[in-house]
Amino acid sequence: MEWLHLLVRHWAYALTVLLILIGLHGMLLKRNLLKKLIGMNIFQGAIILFFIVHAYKDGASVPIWSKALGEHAERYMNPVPHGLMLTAIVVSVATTGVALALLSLIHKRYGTLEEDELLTALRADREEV
Amino acid sequence: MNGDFSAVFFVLAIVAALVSLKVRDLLAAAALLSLFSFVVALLYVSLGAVDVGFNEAVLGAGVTGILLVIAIFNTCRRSQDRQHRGSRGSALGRLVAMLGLVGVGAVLLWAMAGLPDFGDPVAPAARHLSDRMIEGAYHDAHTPNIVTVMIADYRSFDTLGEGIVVFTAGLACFLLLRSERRRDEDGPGT
Repeated sequence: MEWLHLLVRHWAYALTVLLILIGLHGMLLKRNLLKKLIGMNIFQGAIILFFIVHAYKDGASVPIWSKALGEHAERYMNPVPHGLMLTAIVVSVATTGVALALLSLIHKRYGTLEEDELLTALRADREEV
Repeated sequence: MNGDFSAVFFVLAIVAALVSLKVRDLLAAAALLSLFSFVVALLYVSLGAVDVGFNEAVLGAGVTGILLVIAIFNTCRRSQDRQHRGSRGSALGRLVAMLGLVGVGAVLLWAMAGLPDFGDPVAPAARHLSDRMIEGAYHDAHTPNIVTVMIADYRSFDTLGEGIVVFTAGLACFLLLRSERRRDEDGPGT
């Protein structure tokens, strides 16, 4: 019963954990490298979401100063995670770009993006040498 | 801001993520990933993070989607998940990965119990650095948007570091794609 209570109070965290697991599932179990990359993107989105969920305050406004609200910290959302996650989104797009460049190189060389076929091709390469 | 719609957006994001990993057509998967990013951007806005939502809608839903579509047209469109299902090693690997996934989920849910309540205005994270930033931002920089003050004034060296990361990534992409072109000129088989 206590468990259920905890889940109700932390429901946003629980759903974030679910998203993290979906992303991890894509990275671990999908055989196509592009699918793995999509899983990584979902994972990154979930981590960013975790920080944004942390920054949320009940009954607070967006972190933009206004005269009506004055300078009371509890009336604005926490801006520190927001700033950090702005950086994280830009970095995640940069990593996606590098990963896609690597994938297009792999496809050019081996003609496939499936993990099994790639492993067979790599083994054949090694035996040749 | 109210978080009334956030539960709906959460469910939509989870469904979009699941379907995008499930479909075999990679172009559809890329479109669904864009949809996921857009729903997550709406979720950020409904949780009060307007700057992050804007950034995610432009970069996550827009730029990532375009990059993925370009890459898919350059490679192949179909994904054949589970082709070699019968082999024994892969079945064992899948089992281990599944167990690892369950383990990670259990640890994360256990750690969740120690976090402050969702939406707690006096959580430890809200009472140490951020309160001083909120109260001092307008006085220090005369800019109403507190996140802007944080990024451009309080943490501007970090933003410079971010620029260096993006520059390095662009350089890496350029060098990788250039080596690909050079291999083309040498002829196939090298």
